[in-house]
Amino acid sequence: MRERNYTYAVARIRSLETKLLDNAQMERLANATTLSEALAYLGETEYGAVLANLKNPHQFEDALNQELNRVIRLVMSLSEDAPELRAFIYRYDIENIKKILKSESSTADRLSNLGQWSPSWLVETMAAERYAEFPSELAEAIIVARRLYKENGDVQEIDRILDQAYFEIGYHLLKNGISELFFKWWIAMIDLTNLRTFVRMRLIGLAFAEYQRFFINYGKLTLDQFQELWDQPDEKVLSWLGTTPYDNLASNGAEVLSSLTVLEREYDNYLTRMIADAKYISLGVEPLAGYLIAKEIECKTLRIILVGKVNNVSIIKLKERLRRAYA
Amino acid sequence: MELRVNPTRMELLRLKKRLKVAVRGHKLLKDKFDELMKNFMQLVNESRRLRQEVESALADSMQGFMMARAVMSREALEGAIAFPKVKAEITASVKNVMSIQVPAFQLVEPEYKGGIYPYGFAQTSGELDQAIRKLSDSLKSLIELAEVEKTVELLAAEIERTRRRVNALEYVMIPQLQEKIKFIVMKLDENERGNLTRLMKIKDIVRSTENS
Repeated sequence: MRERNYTYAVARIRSLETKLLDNAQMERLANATTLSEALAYLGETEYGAVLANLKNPHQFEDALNQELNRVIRLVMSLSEDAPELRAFIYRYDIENIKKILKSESSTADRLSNLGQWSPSWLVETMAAERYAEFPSELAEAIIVARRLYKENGDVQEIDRILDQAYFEIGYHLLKNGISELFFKWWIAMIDLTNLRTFVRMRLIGLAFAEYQRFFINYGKLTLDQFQELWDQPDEKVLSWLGTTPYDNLASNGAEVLSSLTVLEREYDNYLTRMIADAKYISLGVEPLAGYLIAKEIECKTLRIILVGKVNNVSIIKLKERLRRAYA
Repeated sequence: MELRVNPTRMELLRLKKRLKVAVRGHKLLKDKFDELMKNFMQLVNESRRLRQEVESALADSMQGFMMARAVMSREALEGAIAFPKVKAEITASVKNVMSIQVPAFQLVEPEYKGGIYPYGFAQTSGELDQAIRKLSDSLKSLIELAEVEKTVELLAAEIERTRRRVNALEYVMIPQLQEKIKFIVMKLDENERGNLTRLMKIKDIVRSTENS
C-alpha cells in the first residue's frame, strides 16, 4: 500500500487519538479510593461501552481485552492488513504458541484472542503440525522449540526460542518496509529488551553465559558491550548508558539499574515517546501503529491501576508504575 | 458408695499390688506428660517462628505476583508460570519422638541449571522474578513448617491422651483402690475384733461353767 492510501485511515486515527486518556486522567484514576470509583470514572471515557457490559466489576480485564481487540481489528482493517503492522500483534500469537507448546492439552478458550490468528485455528494448526502456514522464521522456531522441549523438558527454552523468533520476524518485516520509524522503534525495543534482561539477570545473579543465550540479535547495543559491563558496578553501567541512544533512561539515576519497576516504566515511556513521532506524520502507516501502541500502553496502565485498586495497593506504589500517556 | 469387693486377705494383697502398679504407672505417665509438654512447647515456638517466616515470605511473593499480574496480561502471566522449569522432590519418612510416630520430610533440592525461572525474559515482567525467587526460597521453610505442624498436632493428641490417663489414675483408679484397701482392712480388723470378743465370751462361759 502506498502512502496516499492512508488518508482516510490517518484522519480516522487522528479523531480517535483525541479520545486516548492523558496523564492527568491516569493520575485521577490512580487517586480513586476504590475500584468502583475508578471504574465509574473510566465509564465516562471511551471505555464506557465495554464497561457497560460488565457483570462483575472484577472482570475489568475482559473489558480491557475487548477494547484492545476492537482497536487491533480496527487498525488492521484501516491499514488493509499491512504486513508492517502484523509485527506489532504477532506478540499475542507467539504467546499463544508458547502455551500450546508447553501443554498439548491447551484449549482455544485459554488463549488470547488479540493475535493475528484465531485461537482455534492456532490449536488446530499446531496439532496438525502444519507449520508451513506460519512465517518461515516462526515455523523454524516452533520446530526447534518443540524438539528441545521434548529432549530436556525445559519450558524456558520454548520462551527463549520463540521470543528470539518474534524479534527476528519483526526485524525482517520492518527492515524492508515502508516506515523508517517502525524499524528504528523495533531496534530500540530489541536494545531495551536486551538491557532489561541484562539488569534482571544481574539482579538475579545469573552468569553471563546465561545472558548470552537470551541475548537478542539485531540491536544496536552489542553482546560485547554487555559482556564488558557484566561485572562492572552500576555507576559504570550508568555512565555507559548515558553514551548510548538510550541516555534518557540514565537520567533516572542508579535506580534504573536497581529497580525493575523503574526500568520497566522507563522502557515503556521511551518506546511511547519514540512512536509519538508518528503524530507528526500526516500520511502514512505510522499513525496507525502509534495509535495501536498507545492503546496497548494505555490498557497496561489501566490494568496496573485497576489491579492495584482491587488489591488496595498504595497510591504511591501505583504512581511509580504509571506509564507516560501518548496523548 | 457401695464397694463391690471381697473383704479377704487374698483380695487385699491383690489390690495392694494393683495400687503399687498404678502409683508407679502414674509417676511414669506424669514424667512422660511433663517431657511431652516440654517438647511440645519447644515445637510450638518453632512452629510459630516458621509460620511467621513462611507467611511473610509468601506475602512478599504474592505481592510480587500481584504486581506482575498488574503489568502483564492474564494470558501472558498464566503462560509464563503455568509450567515449572525445575521439579523439587520430597521424601517422606517416619521418626520416633517419645514413642510417637511423626513425619519427617526431606526436600531434595533440584539442580537449578540456568535458574528457577520457567519463562523467557523478553516478554515477561521483572516483578515476576522477585515473586518466583521468594516463593522458591520459602519452599524449604514451608516443608519444615508442614513437618513441625504435623508433629505438634500428633504431640498434642498424645498429650491429651496422656493427660486423660494421668487424671484417670490420679483421681479415679488410685483413690478407688485406696478406698477398697481401706474397706478390706477395716472389715478384716472388724472380723478380728469379732473373733476376739467371741473368744473372750466363750472363755467367760467356760470359766463360769467350771466354777459352778
